[in-house]
Amino acid sequence: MNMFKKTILFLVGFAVMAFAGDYTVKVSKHYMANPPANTEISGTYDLPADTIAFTIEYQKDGGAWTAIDTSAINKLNKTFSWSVPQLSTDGTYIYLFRLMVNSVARDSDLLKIVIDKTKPKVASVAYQPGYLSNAQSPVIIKLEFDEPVSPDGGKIVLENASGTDSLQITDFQQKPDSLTVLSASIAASDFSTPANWTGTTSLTISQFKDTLDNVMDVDASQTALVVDLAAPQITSFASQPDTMNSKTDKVTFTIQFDQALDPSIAGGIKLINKISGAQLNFNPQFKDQNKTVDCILTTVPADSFEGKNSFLVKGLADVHKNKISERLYESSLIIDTKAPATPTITSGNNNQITSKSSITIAGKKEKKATVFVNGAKVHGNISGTSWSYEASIPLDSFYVFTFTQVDSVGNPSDPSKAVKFSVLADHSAPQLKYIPPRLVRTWKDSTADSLCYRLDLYFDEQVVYQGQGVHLSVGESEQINLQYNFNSQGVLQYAYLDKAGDVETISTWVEEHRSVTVSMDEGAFTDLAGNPSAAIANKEAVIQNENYIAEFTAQNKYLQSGDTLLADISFKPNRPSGNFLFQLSLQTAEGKTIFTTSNLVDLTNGPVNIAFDKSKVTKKDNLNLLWSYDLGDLEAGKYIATVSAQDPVFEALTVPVTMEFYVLSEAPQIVSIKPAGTPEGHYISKQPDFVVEFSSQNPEVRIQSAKLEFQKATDYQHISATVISVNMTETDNPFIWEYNCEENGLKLADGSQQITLTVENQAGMSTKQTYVYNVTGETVKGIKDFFNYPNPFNALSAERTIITSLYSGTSPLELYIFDISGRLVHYDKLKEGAPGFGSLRKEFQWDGTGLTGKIVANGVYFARLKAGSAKSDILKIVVNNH
Amino acid sequence: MKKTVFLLLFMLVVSTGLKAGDEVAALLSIPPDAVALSLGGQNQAHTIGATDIFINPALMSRHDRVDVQFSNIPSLNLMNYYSASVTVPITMDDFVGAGVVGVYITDIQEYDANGMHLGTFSNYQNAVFLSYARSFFPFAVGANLKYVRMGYPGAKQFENSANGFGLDIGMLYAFQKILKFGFIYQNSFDLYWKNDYHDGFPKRLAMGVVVSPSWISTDFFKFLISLEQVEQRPLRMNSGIEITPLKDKMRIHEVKVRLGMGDFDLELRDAQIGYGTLVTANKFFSAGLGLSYGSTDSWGIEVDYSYRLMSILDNQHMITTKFWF
Repeated sequence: MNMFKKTILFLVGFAVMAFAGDYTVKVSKHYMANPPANTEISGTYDLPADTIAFTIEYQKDGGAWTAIDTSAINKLNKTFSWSVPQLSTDGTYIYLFRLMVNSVARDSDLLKIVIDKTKPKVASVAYQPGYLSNAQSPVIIKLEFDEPVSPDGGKIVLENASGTDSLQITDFQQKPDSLTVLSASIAASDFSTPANWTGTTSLTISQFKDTLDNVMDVDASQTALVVDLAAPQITSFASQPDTMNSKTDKVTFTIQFDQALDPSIAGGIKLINKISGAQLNFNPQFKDQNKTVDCILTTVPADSFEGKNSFLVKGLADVHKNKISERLYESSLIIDTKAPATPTITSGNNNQITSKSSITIAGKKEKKATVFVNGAKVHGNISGTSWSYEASIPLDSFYVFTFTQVDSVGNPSDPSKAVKFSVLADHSAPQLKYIPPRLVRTWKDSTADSLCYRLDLYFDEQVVYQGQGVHLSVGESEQINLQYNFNSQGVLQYAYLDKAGDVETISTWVEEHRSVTVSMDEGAFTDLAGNPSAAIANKEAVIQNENYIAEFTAQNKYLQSGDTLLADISFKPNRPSGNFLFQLSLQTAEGKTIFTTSNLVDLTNGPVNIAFDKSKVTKKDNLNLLWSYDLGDLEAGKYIATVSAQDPVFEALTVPVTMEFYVLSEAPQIVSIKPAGTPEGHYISKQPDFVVEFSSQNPEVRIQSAKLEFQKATDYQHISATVISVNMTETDNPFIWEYNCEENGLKLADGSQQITLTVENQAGMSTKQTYVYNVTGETVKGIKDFFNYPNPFNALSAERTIITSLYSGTSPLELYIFDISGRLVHYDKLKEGAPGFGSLRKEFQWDGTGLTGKIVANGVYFARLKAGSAKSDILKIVVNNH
Repeated sequence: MKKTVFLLLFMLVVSTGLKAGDEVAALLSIPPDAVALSLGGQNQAHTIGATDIFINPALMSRHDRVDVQFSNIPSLNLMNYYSASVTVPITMDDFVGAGVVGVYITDIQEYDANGMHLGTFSNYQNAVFLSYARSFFPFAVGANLKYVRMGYPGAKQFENSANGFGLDIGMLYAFQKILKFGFIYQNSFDLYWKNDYHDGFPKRLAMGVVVSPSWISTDFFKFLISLEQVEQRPLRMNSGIEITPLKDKMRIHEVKVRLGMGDFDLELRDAQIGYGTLVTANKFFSAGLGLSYGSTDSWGIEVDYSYRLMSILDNQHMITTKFWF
């Protein structure tokens, strides 16, 4: 029978009952769960006549209705009983009892039987969040069963990975609208020994019952809870290298953890110097599956990190957000960027000349430092603070040994201050070389009777005469053993042969043979290293006549273009009489001849004025001439004039006489004056020390004089100038002149002071510069005289600018440097007790780096000093990198 | 519209790939307007007139008239800063603008390495902006092309000048009057000097929020806050409040009172200095007053004054004059 027919039938029956009177049927139970087999159901019915019939149909889980056999129903006195059939399949069974009268249903009742003999099963386990850690606690465990279960009686047992510890959860929550789902909370604090629980736990779910008390089977197959209650620990840390010196370009600081970290969790590592308190943040770089962190230091940090450094690990956490305990670790990283002093030499004669092939140099050094000579490591006797070096000097040469040291962390000493040791190794015998021996006919004084000869011996090095062993001869039979002292002039050894007999003999040789030879015994001379000269036999000497010119000097050695050079030429009184072939020439310092002339001059009877090409010679008397030469537009520079005269009787060559003079076109320049001077006025003390540096167009032309004039800057005070004029002719290059007012007893008056500096070179050209200073005492009010030099400066080429000011207070002096938008780019502080703080003039240095250590961009920067409540003016510093 | 969006996205992608530099272009970090200065600095969501192109070009999209402004920081003994700009709506949704900012620093003392005084010289720094914005209400985007030039006239021992180009991308989102959000991204760019040396200026991202609580009245009170992140620099914050106590009375269009705090570093980042020193040196407080005469829809003039209190450097005045028609 289909549903439609049944429904029609039911409606018809209902209508019949409604119109025919009370026909009822009631079963004693309307609900049964898992009834035992053959359970009897009773019921009552009521109807006018006992002509009844029952039908029973059932449906399972809402399925189709099925009629069952009703013959087993026992009816008695309006009661009936019926045995429930054996139901073996789980499900919800609806039994419909119908009272049928004349095949028409008059009433019905329902019996619901639930058969559930299946044990509940866990459908899924979920964790919110997905793991339990110190940071993620508590965790909500959500159990979903395949049927409604009771929250009571069930339990979850968590067991750690090693099986040594367990935790039981029995408290579960259930929402009324979701009876298949249970939840429980577990927190980190529930674990009595958290250290045992890191890792994946095992999970056992048991004893949960469904609504018909079917108890689940123990379920150990569900996804277990990940528990991580262990904060990451540092297992090792090291820096590579473990020292940082001024040349170290990179230090990698490696920290290893016992577990992987989460790089996305903000945290950091700081380098901390416990002594200075300085801190530097690292940018941690994770590697090795995030179990290792590298912190890289590429620039040498500030001085405040010198020495041993610690590091602070803060905020880093593992993948389960367990944060590492904040702690300061002692690291092995030592930062030492201070250059050691230059090593010293304590034994060994510097600048010595020796014939030895090796010498020993010894000295002191910094402890643990390595000494280098000419860039190579010294492997000599090194111990503690002492060192020695066996220097090999096998060749004839000038040896220079430059010693530096590198301290134990690799900082080299300043190469510009390296100690130098010089030695001249000379293993060779001195020889007559380059210029042959020369025998010069000359006179000892102004009388013609004082004729003598001078023997000139030119060696290849400086020598010392040993007293004997030099001979003159003509042929093989005539010889003079010279018993004279030799004088030294550089590599020249000369002796005046003035004994009457010798003079006569030599004159005879010269006149008759025009030839004289020189012989020398071995060891007649020794060089400065003690090497004896070799024996020389019969070396032909050049015979010369002494120059008759005694002096050739300029009256005006320093000239300007257009001037006339005036030079005195004086002859020796013993000059022969008669004509001389007189030669004059002019050369540049580079040897280029620009003028030469020659003429015969009769000193005794000739005219007073003799024209020499473009110049003129004026005879002053029989022995003195004056040479005039118009410079015209001669270029600035150094020039050499040469004069020579030849005796027409004695045909030997004469030695030319030279003279230097200078042509200048520029006045001397004032390179610098310290204290620095500006038109605006700098502050100076009452007794300052002035140091002035000059430059000259030609370095050989000296500054002749310098003059300082001190005068009150305001005219109305009518104070006469104090003039200090100093002869500068003895000042060497570079031309630096120092005038110390205190040493010279000059005390300046307070207030504005005008100082005029005048310098004049030897050509009479002068430069004048006026400076205005503010003279102050030992103290100043506030911060004064704030300026920097050089300005601009090139930070890219390691140039620094010195920022200087006057300040006499005791509050710390703070330097702030901003860009033009007001952003701080540099800060420095000078505290009492720091070097230089006791001086009235305070100085800072800025290398042009910003707060991160990088060189700032080109531009203008504003600097201000602050000391307590006092503030300086604002200084404009320009960085010009290029 | 698609072309505009693609063009802006293209410029953004290109600009993010450019090289990062070392220092901030200081000229472009100076608040260009007395209103901005009195509110603690630049805020990328606050429309203040033609000055907007220097702060966030997308702000132009909220203009409904031609705006002209001129600003000046008359710190004559230190530097003379000025900015001038004009913005013009060309359609309902398209806006163009142009402007120039500059600083002229005179009387810089020149010394050589020996401390010898050589004289004085000057420094000029100028930047020219060309701007475009387009509105996709409630959103708007904008872009700047800027040309920067620097030089040192009058120096005795050196001569140098530099040129460079930069790019800005800005965005604005306005949720009615209650909340506005804006940001600007400035690419890194190089300033090339005569001698082949070049300075690199880092990327900069700044975001601003303006809140006008409806329970107070959107026209009466505004709260502004902005964050600025320059590459490798500490994160910074500016904030300010603006109150309009008088509006459309006695022929006065508006009177505005402003207070601000600016350049407040929120972190130390890699700076090798104490945090307290950094904040003390950089942060400033500001106050200002604005008076406008005219009407919103015809023409008007506005004069704004700002006073900047600095802890280390000298306090500054700034005056801005604006016209609209």
